[in-house]
Amino acid sequence: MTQLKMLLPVVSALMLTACAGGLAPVRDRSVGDVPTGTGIPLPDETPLIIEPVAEPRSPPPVSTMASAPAVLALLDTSRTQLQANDRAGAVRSIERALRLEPKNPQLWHQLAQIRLQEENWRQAIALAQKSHSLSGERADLQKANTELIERARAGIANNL
Amino acid sequence: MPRQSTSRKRRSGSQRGRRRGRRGLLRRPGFYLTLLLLLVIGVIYVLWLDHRISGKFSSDNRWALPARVYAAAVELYAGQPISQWQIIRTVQAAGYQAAGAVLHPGEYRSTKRRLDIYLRKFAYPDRQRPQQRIRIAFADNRIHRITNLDSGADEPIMQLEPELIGKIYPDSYEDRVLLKYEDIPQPLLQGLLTIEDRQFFTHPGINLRGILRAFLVNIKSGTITQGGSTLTQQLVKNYFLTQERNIWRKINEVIMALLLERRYSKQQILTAYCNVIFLGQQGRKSIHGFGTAAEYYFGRPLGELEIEQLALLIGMVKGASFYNPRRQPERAKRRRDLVLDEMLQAGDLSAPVARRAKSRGLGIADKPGWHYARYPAFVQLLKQQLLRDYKLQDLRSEGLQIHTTLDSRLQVLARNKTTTTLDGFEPQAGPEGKQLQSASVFVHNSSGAVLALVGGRNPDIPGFNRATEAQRQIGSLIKPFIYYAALQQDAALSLTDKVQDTDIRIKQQDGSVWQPQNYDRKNHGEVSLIEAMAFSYNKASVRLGRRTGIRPLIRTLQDLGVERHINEYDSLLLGALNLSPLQVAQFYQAVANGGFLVPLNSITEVLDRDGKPLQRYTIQLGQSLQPEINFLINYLMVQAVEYGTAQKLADYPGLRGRTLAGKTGTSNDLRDSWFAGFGDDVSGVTWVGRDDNSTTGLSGATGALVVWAQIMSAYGVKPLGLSAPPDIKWARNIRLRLRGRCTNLGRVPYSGKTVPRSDLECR
Repeated sequence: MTQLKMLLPVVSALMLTACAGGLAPVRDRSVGDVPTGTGIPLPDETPLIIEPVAEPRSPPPVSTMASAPAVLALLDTSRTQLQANDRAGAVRSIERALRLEPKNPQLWHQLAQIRLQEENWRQAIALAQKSHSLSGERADLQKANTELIERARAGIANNL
Repeated sequence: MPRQSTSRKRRSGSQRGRRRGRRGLLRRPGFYLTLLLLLVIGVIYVLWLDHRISGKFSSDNRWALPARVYAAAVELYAGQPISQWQIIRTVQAAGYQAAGAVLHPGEYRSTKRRLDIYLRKFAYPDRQRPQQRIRIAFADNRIHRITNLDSGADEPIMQLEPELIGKIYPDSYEDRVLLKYEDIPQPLLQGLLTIEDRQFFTHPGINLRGILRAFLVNIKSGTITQGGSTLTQQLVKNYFLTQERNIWRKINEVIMALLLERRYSKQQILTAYCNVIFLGQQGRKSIHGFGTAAEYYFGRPLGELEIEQLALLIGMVKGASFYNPRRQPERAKRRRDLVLDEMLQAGDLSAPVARRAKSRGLGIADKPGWHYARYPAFVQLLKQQLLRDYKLQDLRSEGLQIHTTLDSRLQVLARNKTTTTLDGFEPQAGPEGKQLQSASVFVHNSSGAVLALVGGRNPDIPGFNRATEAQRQIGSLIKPFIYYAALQQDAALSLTDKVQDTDIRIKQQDGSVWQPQNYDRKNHGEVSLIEAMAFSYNKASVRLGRRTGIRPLIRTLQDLGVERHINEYDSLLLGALNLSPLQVAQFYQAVANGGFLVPLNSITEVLDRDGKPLQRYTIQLGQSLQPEINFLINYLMVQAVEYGTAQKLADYPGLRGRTLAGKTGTSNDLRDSWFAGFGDDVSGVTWVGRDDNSTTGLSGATGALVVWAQIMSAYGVKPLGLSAPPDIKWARNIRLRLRGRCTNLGRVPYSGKTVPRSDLECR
């Protein structure tokens, strides 16, 4: 019981921080995709820790997966294709990359950019939202996606 | 008496009469008129014949060509976990052959750590790819490096030639591989001329000496053995005329051959001949042209055939059915060897080449090189989707190239495992309607691409495509959406909140009372949402669904693509809704894709016969489910696999230890057995049942789950990376009462508003 009383201020402090919106970086021992259940019945003495914890992610530039070079090569190709005005080709390159890394937020963002250029506002928004949902802690991408969505919404408003 | 004079007089009289008649005939204008008329008719007739042939062989000849359908091209990249054997199987399916040294397109060579392939040239949807040699180096069960042997450069990523999986035929079931003059191998041309028409390049269309010779030979032997027809005449015969053999046809043939030679060059005629010559029949399909025959008999492009294979085709010109190598192999071999001998005599081959060629077998591919019947269920879906944008007539005749989403490795696995698993449940005996059946749809989560489709237990018999057409009760597969609707409606609801899994009596509109039962017939008391979903409790789910209301659930289903009207019956909460496996696969695609629905699609690209892109199908994203709440549903489905009704997935070596999401479904009286599951990249829905709707004796876990697991375990589905949307918070060390026991669940996700307050009790 006393252990818990000591913990209470810590917990409250953490929760206040969380409510303030800025999550203090917390050391988290459970890294990556840990299977969620252990199913082990616990003895009652184990202290309870309830704290909202941000899922830790150290974001790589584009990808850390085995397919990274291939994805980078395809991204490169898509940029070249865009410069040569081959938008359809650029889309195909990104879609090929997405087959390899479907949860890569950078790729979804690229696709959103192309749709924005095409003035396909609704798809641009949907793709940017998809990128956002995968962007985890990547503030740079989140900012880019937010801006893109704003521009797309402006585009819709202008068309009316 | 001057007897002579009388007779002379008499003779001259009659002679004079005759002569006068003859001279008279020549003097009569009627004679010349008739002659003129005949001439005019003759000229008109010839002009008409000329008209018939004109334009037939113009340079952009429009033969009716079927659409060619391709599977998705396999991508290879450095670092990819793929085995040599898998790559070899893929190229073998495209007719590539092992060779000691990789010298020609269509060959590969495999050693322990390296695979060399000479890729054929191919027109990809966005670019041409010339033929090239590549070397794939392997290490640690992965591709270590891909090198282009011609340029020396490393390739980070490379597409293999896509597999031809089918053709959409014109009604006449004709099909051709169209050859241009430069596509025809020189040895074939030489041999053809030697055997059939040595004076081809010099005669004007008919060969008078040949006809005469043949005539004499026929007279001597008393039968018609020699034709004396030139290639030009044969072309006319094959292309314009009917099969009758009479004098008029012969005359027509001669005139048209002469006209043809006047209109077209030798090269054009030769090319047309090589594309038109009849070389076999398979059921309703007729095989015309050397290119088509090469595919049909040898499973390889014409340019890759060996000299003895070309000799066989040349020999078959005389009588394709008579010399059919599959049905009359000995006769075919004799004919082929005769051709080789004649070619040797004419100097087309050297003696050692001829000897070696004759020593080889026929080289006929085991199965006819048609793939159109290989994946009938998938092609059916494909056609449905194509017909939205194309007319059937165009599909059958314009020679379109259709690139699809099919993953042939997964498709073959799905088909085989379905058959073997069902055979394990129950042998195939029994009347059609009563047989245990199954259907599956596997989808790439983020693109909505249909990777594989199984329409029934007997894949080679096209017919009822259960994946797209069977409308069956989905049972517990509706539960994730009940929970979704509940969480969406009540912002304060969290996964660790409780619901009562106790008796519930619902009064129906007609006054009757409905009492849903749990599968194990037990009441579990107050349970968390996590437990209720993981163990698929009916009572708790119905209670939760009633609390939320049926309409939000219906709206969710409509957002997920159900277009028809759904009645607001409480039984909906137990899945009394008929849907096809394809529709259900659409639901779970959205769930697996962060809430973003992408309409399931089977086509990536359509090109015209020259390879020019006509239409591209790209990802069209829609947001159907809120990502944060959808994430919570993902988590629930993972629990079902961890310790719930789907825990049997751990029995399969390819799935053990991998984070996967799943939901079992069983309808009333075990009439339908369902399983829906996904990993990071692929999701799949499997149904097992009987066409006559009688009971299967299987639950979702003992039936459909087994089929699904066999397939996905062999395929290698990627573990689900639970990457939460920004608004989700994880709470650690959550203790929860599960099945009556206090359990440490570790991390549990909460949406921003429902983060739990600190609590001492085991939840």
